Amino acid sequence: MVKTKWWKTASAVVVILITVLAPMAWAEKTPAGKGDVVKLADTFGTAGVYPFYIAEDLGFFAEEGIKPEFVGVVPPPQLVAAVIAGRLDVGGAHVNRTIAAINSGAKIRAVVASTETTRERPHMVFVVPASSPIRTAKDLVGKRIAIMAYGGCNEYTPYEWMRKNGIARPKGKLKIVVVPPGREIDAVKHGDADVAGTHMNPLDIKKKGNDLRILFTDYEVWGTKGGATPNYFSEKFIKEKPDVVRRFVKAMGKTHNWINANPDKAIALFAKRVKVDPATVNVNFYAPDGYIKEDTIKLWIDLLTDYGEVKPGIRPADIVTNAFNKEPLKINKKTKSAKSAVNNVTLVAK
Amino acid sequence: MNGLFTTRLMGGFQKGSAILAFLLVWEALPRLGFVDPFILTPFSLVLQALVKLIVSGEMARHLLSSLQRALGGFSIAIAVGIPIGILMGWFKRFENFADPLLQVFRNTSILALFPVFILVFGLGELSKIAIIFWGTLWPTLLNTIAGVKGVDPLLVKSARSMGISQPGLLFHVILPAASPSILTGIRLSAANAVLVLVAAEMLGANSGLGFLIFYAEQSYAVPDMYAGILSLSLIGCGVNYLLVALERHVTRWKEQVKTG
Repeated sequence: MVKTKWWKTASAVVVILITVLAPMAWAEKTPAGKGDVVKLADTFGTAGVYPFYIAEDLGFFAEEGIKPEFVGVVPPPQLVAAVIAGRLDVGGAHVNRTIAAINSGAKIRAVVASTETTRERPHMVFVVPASSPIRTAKDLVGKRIAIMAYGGCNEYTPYEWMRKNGIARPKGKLKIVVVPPGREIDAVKHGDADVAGTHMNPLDIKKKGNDLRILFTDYEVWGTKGGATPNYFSEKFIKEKPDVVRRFVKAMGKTHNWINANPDKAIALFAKRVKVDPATVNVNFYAPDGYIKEDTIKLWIDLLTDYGEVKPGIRPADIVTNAFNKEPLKINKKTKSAKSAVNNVTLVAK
Repeated sequence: MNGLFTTRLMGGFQKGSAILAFLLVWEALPRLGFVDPFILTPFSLVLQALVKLIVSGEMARHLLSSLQRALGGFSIAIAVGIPIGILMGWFKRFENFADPLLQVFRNTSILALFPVFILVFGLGELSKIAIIFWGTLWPTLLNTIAGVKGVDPLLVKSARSMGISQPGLLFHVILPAASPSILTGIRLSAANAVLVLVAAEMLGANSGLGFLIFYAEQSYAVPDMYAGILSLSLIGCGVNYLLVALERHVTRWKEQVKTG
């Protein structure tokens, strides 16, 4: 009787082990094909064009011998940890998050610029119901604001707008209501908040109905300097594979220039890949050639230091480097440049 | 007497050794470089962060907020679950009527229902208490039903033959007989309350242990995040321990059958 029981237990254990370990083995399989693998996250949401998909679909990665491997959706707060743990090779969110992470000891470095704010395509747009009495910064004091996370552009854009419009110490003067990304306007419509801080395009907000009014955007607060979202690698990856990083930066530079020159085609391409209606997709403006402009970084370092979020003494060189971008690319004559002069291309050497 | 002391000491040592080993691994992995310290803070630093949070009063503020919400949802769940459970356990017709719907509700993951709660209740305190209520209702309800159904029919028959009234039957026979099951249900509900609390505080909150954990994560204050997780575990254990003690006290009239 003991002998029969033995093999039953053993086979049950084997079955369980296989069920548990097999998916892990499948997950780790490297995709077939030539090129250096770079692990990227899938797009978080389909509301905005995702440059990595464009780069792959247009062959810009293949041209540089890069093989992108998309590992699935990673929520923005997890990006830094995923890059440090080696599950992802490239991360990228608003640069103030990158600064906060590096300040807390994360060994990452941003190597290529991504989005850039323009008047038509700001990084963040803050809306109120059309009938709302809120019109000035003073009206905002004490009101509830729906944003997708604490910190970063979500919290500091309104604070800085208030400060620049006469409210002395804005931190603490807003009631923050954290909502899932993309649901900020819903929260206002539902009555849970008075202002919504969205990452949408003003055109898309108009599409959402005439009962909304744009209060301000980050363009009004900082011009073109506030919307930097450079991509970063872990310092370990940069040290071990600098050539891959260089080629990645080159591919992304080409991609960004193409998107700037062909925004509608970019929307169509992305919408086709993720199978959504192109009318629901918006496209940002990207820093030409992927050059990181020093003042877009310094702005956030100074701001975060001012608010006590990071230790004083951080320099842009601790956060970003353009060292992998030394080969300037020809800017396509058809590139739509931002209305305000974005001519200073500062090379920040490491 | 010496023998008893040594036995107790050895027992305590055995119980503590697994936890001690775990803490040693937690301390060693980041310090020895196997895991990046940014991702896994060494245990000693987590303890430091926890002490700082306690001393600054932050921990008390978040704890109070969380306990208020958990208690709110939990007490409503108990107040609703036990009576309905008794009704369902006792009246077969009522159970047949209510059971299929309740089974569907109970088997739907609460995290999947999150968006529904937000749509219906918004993002204020009400929706958090509603989420906790939903998550804590089921263990109590189901265990109460099982407890009432499992009352020895012999007891009921004997009591009836002695001419007991309906309320008397309920309070002197059914409830005491079902109480071990009901109390287990309450204990499981309390454990669920702590789990669901974290999920409920992810959104629209500005205080609470769940909020602390996610806020720390977003600010890359990783030691604080682990301190929050640690305190959550300790609270959960503490609540469970209290309820086990309560359970033992309430059912102390039962004969204990020694196991092992």
